[in-house]
Amino acid sequence: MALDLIGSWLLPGFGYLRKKRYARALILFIIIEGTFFLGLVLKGSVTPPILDPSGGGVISFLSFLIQVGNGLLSIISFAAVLAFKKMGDFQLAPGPFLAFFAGEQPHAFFEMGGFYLLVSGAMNYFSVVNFYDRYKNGRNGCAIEAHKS
Amino acid sequence: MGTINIVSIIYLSFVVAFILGLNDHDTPRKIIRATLRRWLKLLAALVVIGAVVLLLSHI
Repeated sequence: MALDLIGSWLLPGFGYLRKKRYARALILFIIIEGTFFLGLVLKGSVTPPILDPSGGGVISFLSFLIQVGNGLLSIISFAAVLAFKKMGDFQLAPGPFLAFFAGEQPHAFFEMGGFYLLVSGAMNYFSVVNFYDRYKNGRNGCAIEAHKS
Repeated sequence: MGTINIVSIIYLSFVVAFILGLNDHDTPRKIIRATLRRWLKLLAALVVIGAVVLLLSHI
């Protein structure tokens, strides 16, 4: 179960793939990763949280937590943002892959792109929790309404 | 810019409605019905919120 949950967080639909529910796995993967990809196209990125001791960075921290819900792609985007900043310090030019995942903060659509990443992360969290609810304690993976009836 | 915002509202509300519908049901018919119902409710709520914000910004 732990492998399925962590795998589903890293790669949307992974748990259902292991349970041989291929259609569900594919649909989740396409919708969630597709939304994330659109966010990157809009020059969004997973922005590092502002850790402010006075409490001013709460929204930033919560946004980061939710964006990270997408797992692997979020980690890549976050790492790309950090790498981009480091390369800027050393005046090195980043490649297209890094630039794509790092977003472009001054861009007009940056906030919009970040919101796409937020929705993608949140939906993956819901899907992972739903997977757990369907299969916990040896359940057969049916929808929760079926378990209740 | 306005077009992107409107398209984004429509697309993202669909994504939310669809994922929640997919999580709640198993059969395609139930998933589609739940998705459409949720999507329309969500869009209506967002339109109302947008109208209220527009109104308040002109006061």
